[in-house]
Amino acid sequence: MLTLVSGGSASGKSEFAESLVLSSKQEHRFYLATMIAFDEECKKRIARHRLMRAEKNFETIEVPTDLHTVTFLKNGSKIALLECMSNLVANEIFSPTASEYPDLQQIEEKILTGVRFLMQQCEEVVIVTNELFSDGIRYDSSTQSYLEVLAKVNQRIAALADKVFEVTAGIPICWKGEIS
Amino acid sequence: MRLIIGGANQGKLQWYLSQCGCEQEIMDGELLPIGELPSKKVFNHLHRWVFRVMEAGEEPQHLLEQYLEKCPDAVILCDEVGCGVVPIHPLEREWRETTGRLCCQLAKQAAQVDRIFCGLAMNLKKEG
Repeated sequence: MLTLVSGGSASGKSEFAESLVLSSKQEHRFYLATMIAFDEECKKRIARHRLMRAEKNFETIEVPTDLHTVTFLKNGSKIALLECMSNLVANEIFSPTASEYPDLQQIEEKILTGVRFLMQQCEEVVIVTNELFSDGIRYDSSTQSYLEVLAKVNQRIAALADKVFEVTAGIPICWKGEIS
Repeated sequence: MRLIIGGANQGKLQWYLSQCGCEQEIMDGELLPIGELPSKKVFNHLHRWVFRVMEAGEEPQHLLEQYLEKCPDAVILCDEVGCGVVPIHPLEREWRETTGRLCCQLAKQAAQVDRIFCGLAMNLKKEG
């Protein structure tokens, strides 16, 4: 089962996504972290989040790029929480190891392949993404391309997903499927 | 008239075209000549047309009313643009405000309003 959770910053989407995982019956919980620790602030944030999740029996796997290479070395049923698609897409396009002229179509396909791989390996997958599309701002062309890729990826995941939620003020709005 | 709103790049036009299942005459607010009354049924990127009309020093509301009189079955697609920081540039500020107000007004008049998110639709209003 695939669930997509979106929302603005500080909308409560992470807490909601986590609650979906905590209420799941799968034996193993994985957290797929996408943030690259560029500086001390990032490192501190990551360390704090890792600690919080360890208490909830999550195993954290770092996947700043190349989602399709993730493997889960555990027997038994699994649930994976990927946070956040907006980071993963940004890393694929802008990270120091990314090409100077990234092929956006190829990146979109690569990410979708990664999502399908996750679904093959885990009984349940929850993907958190970000709602960045309603500020009316026209950005420079590279940012604009990033937004277009993320929007496309979001749409394609939503089409594959069993459930899609938009979270606002901590309240999930159901766009697809049902809140169970 | 129908109104379809949602964030940028959410698949509004694609959703509408998949729904209506027929050939449609589409005009793009990004390309439409300014100073000419819009005439086609499907009005994509209304927010961009509003910006361009305002940039040319004209007033979009009156033009839009005239268009709707001629084309009462219009399908208007507009980005939601109000969820960011207040723009520094006065024209952009005014545009954001005008676009939001126009959407409120259009939604009142509309027989149907749908909101698109990640390619999925939520019906917000349907008359009859």
